[in-house]
Amino acid sequence: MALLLTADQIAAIKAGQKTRQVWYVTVPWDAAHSAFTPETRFHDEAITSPAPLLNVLKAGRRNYYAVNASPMDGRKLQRARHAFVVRNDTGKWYPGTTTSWWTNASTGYQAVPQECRIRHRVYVMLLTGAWSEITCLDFTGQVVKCDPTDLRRADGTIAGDTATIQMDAMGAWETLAHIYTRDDGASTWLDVQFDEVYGVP
Amino acid sequence: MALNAAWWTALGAAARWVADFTGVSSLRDARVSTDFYTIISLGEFPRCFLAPCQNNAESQDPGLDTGHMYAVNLWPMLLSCRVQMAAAATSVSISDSVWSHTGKIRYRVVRISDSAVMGTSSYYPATDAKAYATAITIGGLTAGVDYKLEAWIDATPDVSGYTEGWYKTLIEWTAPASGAPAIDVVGNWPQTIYALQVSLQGGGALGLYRLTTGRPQYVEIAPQPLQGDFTPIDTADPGYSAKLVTPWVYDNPDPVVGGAYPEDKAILTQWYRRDGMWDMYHYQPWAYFGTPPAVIAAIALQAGLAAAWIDQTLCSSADDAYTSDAPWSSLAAVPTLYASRKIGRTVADLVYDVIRHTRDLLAVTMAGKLAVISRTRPPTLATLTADDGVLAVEHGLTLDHLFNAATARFCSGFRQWGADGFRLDMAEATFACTEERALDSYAGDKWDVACEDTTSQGKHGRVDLPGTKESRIVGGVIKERVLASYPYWLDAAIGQALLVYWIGMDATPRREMRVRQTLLGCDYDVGTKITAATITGDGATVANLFCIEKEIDFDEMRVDSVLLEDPSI
Repeated sequence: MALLLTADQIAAIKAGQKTRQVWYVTVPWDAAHSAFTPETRFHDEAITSPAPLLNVLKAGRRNYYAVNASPMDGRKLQRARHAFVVRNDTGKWYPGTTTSWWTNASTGYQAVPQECRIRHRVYVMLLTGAWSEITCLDFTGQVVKCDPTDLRRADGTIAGDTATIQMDAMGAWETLAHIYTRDDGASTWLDVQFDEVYGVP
Repeated sequence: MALNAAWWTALGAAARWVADFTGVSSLRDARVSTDFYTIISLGEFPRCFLAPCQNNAESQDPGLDTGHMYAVNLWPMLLSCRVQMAAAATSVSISDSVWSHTGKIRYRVVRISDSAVMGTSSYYPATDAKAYATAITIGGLTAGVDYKLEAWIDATPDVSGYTEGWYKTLIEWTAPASGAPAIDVVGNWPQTIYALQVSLQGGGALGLYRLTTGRPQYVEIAPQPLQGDFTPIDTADPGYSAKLVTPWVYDNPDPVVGGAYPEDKAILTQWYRRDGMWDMYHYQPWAYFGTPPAVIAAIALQAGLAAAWIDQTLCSSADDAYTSDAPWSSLAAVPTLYASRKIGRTVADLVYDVIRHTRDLLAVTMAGKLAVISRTRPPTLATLTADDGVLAVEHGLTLDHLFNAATARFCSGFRQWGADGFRLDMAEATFACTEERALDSYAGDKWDVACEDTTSQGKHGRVDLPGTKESRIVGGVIKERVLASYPYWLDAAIGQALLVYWIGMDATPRREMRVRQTLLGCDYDVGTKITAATITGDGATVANLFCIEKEIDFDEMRVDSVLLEDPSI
């Protein structure tokens, strides 16, 4: 072992050391998205009091794929999508308020969730007691949607407000999702050949 | 060519230049260095010429040379020049200037921020001509400042209807910081022209670009019968008449030199064949040529993906495999392919199309980087044992990847690129098409290969490689087949070798494992090869598994991985 993790991290995980997740929201400076604020931490499992509060109730999961395992492999390249659930008792996950997490604290610009990014980082406590980040899990996603919902007890009564936030991996995928148009150079005869004669491979 | 550090540096620099040049209508062709020419010119810069334009304005029989594309221009204008930026970015040199009407030329550099003229050259040459090879240098520039280059052509005598003056911007650039690599820009600037598709042997391929809104507009050219075609003269060999017919676009009127022709129009028109001129020229911007990993990297870079978001180590390693590893090393030609973007499809679609021509894996890694993972040189984890945080294992045999019969078409439609002595480094992509003078690559089954494993068929039944079902009449009998298509390969010899290679992997069932681990499962990414996994209850060691899927649960802090055996390694 010890390919992406360090030997110290492997030893810590094997020993059952604590892990810690930290979540940040990044809000654009203005409607032009000329800049983004520094990351604002809204959740950190190593800090319970005072703020930032522990906002994330369900941390969710991410999937990754390596495609073309064989010519029979029909799986297509996919972005990593990550949905997680946050507390919304204070209503800070509703956009349109000056105190929401979607509001730029510096400029007052009230963004909608889809304009914002979420960063997720994971740490493990080494045997020395120091936190060590698992860097291969450092993830930044573009928010796709934020759905307010309720947290219910087993008997069905509402225990508090929550919100489900879904984000898609940025980085490489932002470019990969681009759809070619005629502005992307001239269309050519070979395009026609492939698409109409042979079909898209 | 290995994707070494210099490759990435240069390609990254080129990518930045693409960004700098976005929307600049006059950029036609650019390159960073010879080593990267094929990718840069074909893939890195949009709207580039594969072959240089030369003046053909005033001669009906210009005595053209093999290997050149010729243009008619109706106005005295700069056709082509070479711009070399000094490494320190303090000067530019313009050489090999060619223009359409007899006269002189001069250049100037203008600072974009305030339109200040940084330097204006004298008129060259001393005697009126239509070309000037000697470099004209304009200095006094500052690194990191945006400039543009303009030209003035003084025609003698004056050309009726044309007002002389400083041309529209030829190129704009942000000078690189001192010490940055020199940028060598070769420009072909028949003003406001973009060739859409060029050059078919023996015939005239016409392309027109019209600038009407300040940004490039393109018209798709499709084969049309005999419209606007200039029939080649030679009748001695009917092969010369074999051609694609290219239409006029924008209802282009007949080209009349000196006629009433709007300045924002120009044409590329016929050229006359010469002996031995059997080469098909092909202009295809946003097209890519190279090994599959290099092509994918070039696609991503051109699409605007920063080099930091491409796993350069993995892509470079995969690229190296194509020059050294079997089966590539056993092939006579370096395995290169050609791909082009397609309107309406995504960048992800295109890179997937490329990767499916190979046995490499394609992934966006946990770090969010695009990666091509070599089948023969993957990142490798030597062992996976129960001590590696394994919580549960499911394992079995899968037939999902099995096929034991394959018929596939390779290399469809790609023929000669460039000509002897003027290949623009495309030698490896050159087909010897001297024996095939008609463009018939799409006809018949000459590019088809077939392969099957009868032993596997006896065990598992016949399983065809997926493709398009088609019926053919062979000897009066209708035969059906399933034809897969791998048109991006440029070398016909690769087809058979690939099918043998593939079917050797895939004609048998594979072991598949689903492993649940603690966070130790993050120690390897998708695409990682695990040489030996000893995690099943029977204590058996399964060799050579590739991680093809991974799910990370951040509530439970556990990692599920799908490991697929590759029995061929």
